Amino acid sequence: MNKKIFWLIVIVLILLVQSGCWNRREMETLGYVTLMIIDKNEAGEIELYLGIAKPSGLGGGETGKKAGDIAATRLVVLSRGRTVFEAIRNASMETPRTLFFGQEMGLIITERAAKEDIGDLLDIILREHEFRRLITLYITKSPAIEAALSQPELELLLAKELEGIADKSTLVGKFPNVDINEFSKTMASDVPNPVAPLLVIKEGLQQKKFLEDNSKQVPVTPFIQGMAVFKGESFAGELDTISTRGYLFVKNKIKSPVLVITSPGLEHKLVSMEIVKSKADIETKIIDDVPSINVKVKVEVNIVEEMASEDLTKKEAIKEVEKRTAEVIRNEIQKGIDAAQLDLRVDFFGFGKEVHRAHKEYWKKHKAQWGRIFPDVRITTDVEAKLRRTGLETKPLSVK
Amino acid sequence: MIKKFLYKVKEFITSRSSTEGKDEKNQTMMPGELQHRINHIKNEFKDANDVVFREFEMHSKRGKRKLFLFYIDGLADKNGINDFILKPLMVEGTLAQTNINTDEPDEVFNSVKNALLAYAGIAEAKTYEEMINNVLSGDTALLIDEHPVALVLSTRSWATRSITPPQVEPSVRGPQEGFVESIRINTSMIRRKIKSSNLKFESMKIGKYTLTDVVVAYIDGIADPKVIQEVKNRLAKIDIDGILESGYIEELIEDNRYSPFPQMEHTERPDKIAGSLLEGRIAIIIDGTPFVIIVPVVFWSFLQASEDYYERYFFASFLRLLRLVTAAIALLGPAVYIAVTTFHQEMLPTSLLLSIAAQREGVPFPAVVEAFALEFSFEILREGGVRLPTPVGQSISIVGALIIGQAAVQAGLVSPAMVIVVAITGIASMTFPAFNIAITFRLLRLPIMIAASVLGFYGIMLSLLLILTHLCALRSFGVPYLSPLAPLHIDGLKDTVIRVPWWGMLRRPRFYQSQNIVRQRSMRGKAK
Repeated sequence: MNKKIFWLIVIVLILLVQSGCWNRREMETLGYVTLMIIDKNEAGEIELYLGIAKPSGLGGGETGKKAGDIAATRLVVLSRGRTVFEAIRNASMETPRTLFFGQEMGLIITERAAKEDIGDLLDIILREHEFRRLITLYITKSPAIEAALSQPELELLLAKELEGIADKSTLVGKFPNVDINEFSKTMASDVPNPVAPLLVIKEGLQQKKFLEDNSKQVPVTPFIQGMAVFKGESFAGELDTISTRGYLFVKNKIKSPVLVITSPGLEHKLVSMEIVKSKADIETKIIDDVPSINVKVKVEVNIVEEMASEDLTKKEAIKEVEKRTAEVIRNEIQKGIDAAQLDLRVDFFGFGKEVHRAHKEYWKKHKAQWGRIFPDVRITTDVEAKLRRTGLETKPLSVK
Repeated sequence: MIKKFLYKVKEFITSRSSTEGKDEKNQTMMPGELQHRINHIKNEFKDANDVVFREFEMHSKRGKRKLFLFYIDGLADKNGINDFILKPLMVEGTLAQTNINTDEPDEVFNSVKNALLAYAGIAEAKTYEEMINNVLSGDTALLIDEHPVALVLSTRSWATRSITPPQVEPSVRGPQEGFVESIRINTSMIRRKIKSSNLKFESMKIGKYTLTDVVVAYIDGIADPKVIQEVKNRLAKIDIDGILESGYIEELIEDNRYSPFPQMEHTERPDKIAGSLLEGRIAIIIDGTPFVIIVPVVFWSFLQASEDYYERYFFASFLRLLRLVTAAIALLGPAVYIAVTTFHQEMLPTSLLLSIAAQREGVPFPAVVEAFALEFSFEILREGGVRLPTPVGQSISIVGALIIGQAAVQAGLVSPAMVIVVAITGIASMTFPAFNIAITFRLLRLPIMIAASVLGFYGIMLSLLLILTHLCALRSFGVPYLSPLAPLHIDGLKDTVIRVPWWGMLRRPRFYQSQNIVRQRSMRGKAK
């Protein structure tokens, strides 16, 4: 009995000492960093902008403030350091609360900082346990200060606004949604060409109105469009929205974007199609040590809107609509492939991985040269579109 | 040093001065001489003014014979004594002199017992102790001169509370009668539900002064004889001055005396007792309390209400799952809140986190202190609500709601989120059909809160592991506490977390070591 109790006490003491989360922190003593912006100045020093949420300005109920009052909802801190962590620690010179990164929602890296060695900047996020790997990564060409002070238009927090927009990636198809985990994994793979959404800072409607009313300078609002492509650790270039959508079609990362085609009857009128289902298959062939790639895309679409007064429920019309839809998609994909092979000469599609999967021996021999081989690989695209539904109205709205 | 300290503690808890030896003189056989016995009895009941002594005579051909009866006023049925004891003996016995034509004491005794007294309950007592004990329970003793054996007539009748709906275990569907303080009424209520000669009531008296009637009830042929014997053995070992409530017995015969978990069920519902008896369990009924003990017990039975068996099985299963959830809330509610807000801020959704952080910004105390303060005031309110006399009882809820709900939050002493957590925990701990398990959860909550405040979720997991280990080791009259989950009885799981429909429960729970496992024959005619 006594021996038992002795051992019990010993075990409890050991367990107390073994604890992993010994440092108790009351939640009101923490500063919740929701957005981090990494920039580099001319001297090569890292400039860090930290968006810290102000709970009292955001808290629910009576204490909540309305959007637009930037000072009430967040504090933006600028700190400098030779490394990211040094900059973070230096930020504590002007924040009374311990910075907490467990709730971070987004990381913005300026093009200037990402120009080379973006991997060096991401290391701390992968290494330090407090950071989330699932935060979204954005690349921006705008100045960091503008991004830091840009104003959310609907949400209270900028990071939340960005996250909400990034989630619409599959809906619009004009920018990818990439988290740090995915980005760094791609960077460490055999085809090290990660992509990230491009953040553009410009005036929103609200801000325009405000500017007209007041002469004071007012922060701007963020948009996401297009994507940045990396070659290894360095920034290689950017893609416009159409090529981006081509990329997303091939990567199966698209759900229900809109496609606009010309009406079969009236060439100057337009028809909007919604994609319901899209499935891309990549086939690779090696003939005489020369690889060729075929991208097969099968999509199902619905007619959502028809601006012409043509009856599209006829058999021939359906055929024609399907043909034109496939053509539009094929063009978008081709634009993306052209950007990869001709403009950037970077395999950001990850075709190399498909080659690896199908032809191990070839890959073993040529994986080092893939970057040089890729621009000359023959890539063909087959798109098959199926029209599923034409909507509630079978006949378009028109004057009889 | 720890050793010495523990030894001292144990000694302190178990130390008892040796009980006095039994009263020897009352165990001797009574003499035949009446006056001698009367003196003895009157001496025994000296200064007890509720005892009625009556000396009278019975006349016969051969002369008159002295008789003596005594009973306790208020416990015995006075009308019955007048009409069926005194009247036959004094009037009819004297009139029908042919009845007694001999003067032999034995003959007189027999004719009084067999021919004159129209009483159903009649017994003989040879010692003072036997006789006096029965009289103290409400019987009437009749002594006949020159015959050493006393007749004990069952005249028990006293004012009792009438049968009312169960006060602490109400139900929406099911019998609306609860036990009362009188053991006879209680056994009759059980007998009315189980009309079988196999239902046994074995009685004993416990308590040197209270002589409390204790009845061990079981169904012969279903309950395990070994467990019955064990119950009786443990009861026989009790040597105490008095038993006033079933709680005394519970503490004296439980398996693990230091466990915070109850190892016996108590209920005031006869239907629950009947159901338990049919499962092969044993009931211990104690006179003077409406709460009857059931043994053996498994953990899950505290989360089951008798209503679960009356409502349809979907709903019953839903309620049982709900109680499991509320058990978790009652045990862990504030602890999880403390752990999340002080250790694991990354676990909360951002908006919730920021909202709680905003609430906490003005609060001067750490979350633990806040939680303990609120828990403590909630306990004060609860205890006050129980103790307050009914007319002023209302004020406590007004004061409680105002102080805790409004003023404390407005003054910035506590955060609204904490109030919500404590309130939900408080309500969750009231969802259990058994009050004693709710107490256990209430008490265990506090150490878990401390563990959470020191170690976060790690501390909560440690405490849960400790509790689980303890539960695995615990037994109630030989039945593992966590059966049928550990050890696993697949068949028993039908009536644990969920309740399968009655047509699916063909067997009794096996873990109660029932002698007869078949509960019903399948209605499809297939005997299982």
